[in-house]
Amino acid sequence: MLAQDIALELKSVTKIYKGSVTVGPIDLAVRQGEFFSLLGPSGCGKSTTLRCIAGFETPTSGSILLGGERLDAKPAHRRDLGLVFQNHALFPHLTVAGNVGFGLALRKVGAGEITRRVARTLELVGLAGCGARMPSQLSGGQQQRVALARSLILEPPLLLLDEPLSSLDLKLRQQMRDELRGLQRTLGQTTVFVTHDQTEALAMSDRIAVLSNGRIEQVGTPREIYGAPATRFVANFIGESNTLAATVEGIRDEVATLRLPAGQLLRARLPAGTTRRVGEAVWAIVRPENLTIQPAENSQDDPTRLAGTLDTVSYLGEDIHVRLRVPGLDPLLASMKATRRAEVALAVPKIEIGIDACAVVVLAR
Amino acid sequence: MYGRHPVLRLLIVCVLAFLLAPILVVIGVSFNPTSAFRIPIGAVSMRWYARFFATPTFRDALFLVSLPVALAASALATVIGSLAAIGLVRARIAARGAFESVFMLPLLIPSILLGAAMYLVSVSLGFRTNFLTLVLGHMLLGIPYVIRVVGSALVAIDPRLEEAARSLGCTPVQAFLRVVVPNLRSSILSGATFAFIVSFSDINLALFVAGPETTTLPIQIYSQIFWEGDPTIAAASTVQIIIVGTLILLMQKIFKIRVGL
Amino acid sequence: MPALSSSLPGEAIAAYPPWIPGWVWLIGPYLLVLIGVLVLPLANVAAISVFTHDPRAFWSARLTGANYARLLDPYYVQVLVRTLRIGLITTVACAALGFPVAYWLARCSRRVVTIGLFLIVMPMMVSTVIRSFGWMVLLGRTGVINVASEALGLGRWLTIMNTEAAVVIALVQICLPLLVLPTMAAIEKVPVSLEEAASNLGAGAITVFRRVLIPLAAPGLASGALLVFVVAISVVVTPALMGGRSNRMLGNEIYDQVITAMNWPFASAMAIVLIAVVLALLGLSLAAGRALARRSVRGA
Repeated sequence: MLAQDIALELKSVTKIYKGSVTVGPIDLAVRQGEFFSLLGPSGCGKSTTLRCIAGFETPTSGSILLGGERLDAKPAHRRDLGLVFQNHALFPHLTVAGNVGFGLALRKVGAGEITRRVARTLELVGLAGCGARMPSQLSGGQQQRVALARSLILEPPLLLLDEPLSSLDLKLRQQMRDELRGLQRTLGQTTVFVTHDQTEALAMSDRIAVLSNGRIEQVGTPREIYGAPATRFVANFIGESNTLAATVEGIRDEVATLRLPAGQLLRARLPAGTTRRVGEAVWAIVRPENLTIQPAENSQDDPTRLAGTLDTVSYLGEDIHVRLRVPGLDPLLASMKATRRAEVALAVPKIEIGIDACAVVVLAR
Repeated sequence: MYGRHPVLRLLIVCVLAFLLAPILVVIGVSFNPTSAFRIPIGAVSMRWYARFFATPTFRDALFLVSLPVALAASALATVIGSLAAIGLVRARIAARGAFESVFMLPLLIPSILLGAAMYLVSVSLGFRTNFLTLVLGHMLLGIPYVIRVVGSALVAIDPRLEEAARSLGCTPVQAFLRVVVPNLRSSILSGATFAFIVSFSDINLALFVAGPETTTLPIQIYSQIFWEGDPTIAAASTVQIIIVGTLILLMQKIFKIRVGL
Repeated sequence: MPALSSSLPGEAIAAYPPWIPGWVWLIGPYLLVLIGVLVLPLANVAAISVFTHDPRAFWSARLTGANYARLLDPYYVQVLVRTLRIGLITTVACAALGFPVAYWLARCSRRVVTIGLFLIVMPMMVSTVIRSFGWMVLLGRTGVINVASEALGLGRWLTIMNTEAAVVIALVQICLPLLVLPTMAAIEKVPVSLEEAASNLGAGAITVFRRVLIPLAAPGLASGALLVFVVAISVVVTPALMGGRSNRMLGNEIYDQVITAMNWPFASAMAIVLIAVVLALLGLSLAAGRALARRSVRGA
């Protein structure tokens, strides 16, 4: 990452409430034009981080830089950042145009210029001609667009989005997700997006930082976060996963053989550059879709196939979710497309489970 | 879940009738053509209203004392009360709860005691009670209402509105003046209306503080009842009732405020 | 009266930057008013109450307990007892009549509540002298009820004027809204689902009110009752108009001593007794409220 590419940088930012560290230290670098998400459960510190960037909280230590300049020394109103709230926070006493033109009016821009730019921005967000309405007359999605327009009209170097979609219903949320992402791409708008919704983060982001208990667990592209979780927390928070306690039995050609508590073996391909010792206690993490299920009859004595029984089968239309029992392990979750073959495999109670070595993630225990 | 129970409904009708009875009777009597305190059957007359507006003592009590005093007291109470409400809700003060209780004291201390105490002070200081003492006393009675209305509106305003304004470039004070104050407007006007009504209807404090030149309408009505006057009393009362009722309707319909304590 | 700050989101307030440096400017004016118009005059009353009455100069600064001792005179004991009795009866009657009204207001539709509140608040805001006058016209010997009754051939049977009952009737009408409004606010906070749950468990309407609604609305009911009692024991006009010479209350005695008899020290002593009753009740209700809050925290 070249230094000039970096738009926003957080250097060991911490926020301490009444003597106990609640957030941090957080180190982040957001690139120019990037859609960057802060993802985590409630109370993980993502909103506090955002509020520190926006200037509504003062970090206890650390520094925040925007385009190489110290941002944390400025008060909130001098930071010139765009900010969109979950509840939109539209000014109820002003019209849509009044809301959108609010920032320009503060900057003493001429009335004609304001009218022109408000009209252009409203068009950009798909609300052309709605300027004279009051916020209370708009639907939730429209209010969201006004809030967005109100920030974008000032062409902020950085746009902060604080769970902007979670007040909308599911259908609208999906639609706004695509629109927002499209708009962000068109404008090349550097954006920091706070959310607790992993689907949203995976679908929209260039990169995601997963936070837990005030710390960053992992930063990466959606693919990296999902396919190669760096910690157990990430593996469990993003999507579903089976976490198995195991010990390293042997390593050969970057494939580790792991022994599970009841004696079964599991192969895992280690990414280049990882070092695991024989005898090390590890977690083996497997996504449900990477378990394959076969009827038990055609089994040879392959020690890497786990023998088990079906516990519950949930038919979800497109997919089938299966809970499996394997001796010595917690129940395993498997998911598969609801095909004819899958239904045949699930028709017998005794089954064998195969796990692709490339799909097993090994983490230190 | 028992809101529509027939027994409850019957009870509500009776209680509301009880509450409204004395007021409706007064209104009825004011239209009686004879000088008896009766509800007219058949013919009604406006003569007591004509008498009311023709009698200097009544007319002056309304136009030269009650209305100006209520306006002045309400204006002062609104300014002082709104500032106090903002301070109470927003300022970082220790013992907010204690301040809040103290701020509501004028509602709890009986107003005859406030009146008596003010009377003793002003006479001790050598000046007879006058317009100013009346305004000061009524202002004190009105302030808690203003604090209540403005304070609860202020609490209900989303702090994010101000944060949004600040992210758009407002200083904190600008954000308050441009975003919060416009949204408090109807509450402030309601508080002012409340304070006006409290002053306009008060008799307990005025009983002590009102002097011979500052006889408010309620005091005038009270003394006329003792003099066993004619239904002009009822006409005067009805004028008072109409003004108060109109103001409450105004709060409900125009300011969209839920009237209450 | 529900506390303002109870509805404050504490976090939001804590997160507020201390941008009002001169909060003094905000609450300062009101504090000055409170001190100048309320605290100092009342302190003056307290001081005068221990001074000696002097017909030529209102009072002379010789300390005495005589003003308070005079309150032990059987006549004044009787007035005091009557005042407290009328206050108590009024409060109980207001609670009995007001609770159902508060419940109805809390549970009716938005449209009806606007009308209902108007019908409750409008009478509350009309001057007490007008309402007492209305009762005189209604209940008097030649009042509306007796005249109507006579016209129907039933005679003038209503002889309630100038009795304690007449004072109480007028006072209940005057004080009722003061109880209804805070109680309504408290009942609104009780979800309807609690009533439905209780009823589903087999409770009848009376049990739901007695075991669910009244306990949960107790804080509102209590603050309403306190307001009613304070107003009821400090009236002047109503007993003067409705009670005649034989049903005088403490307020009437204070008024006469201040304005007519000009015995300020004695009037002040009575005022201090009245204020002591009010403050004692206020303290009691605050303590009760705190105990109630503690209990509900422990219960949660």
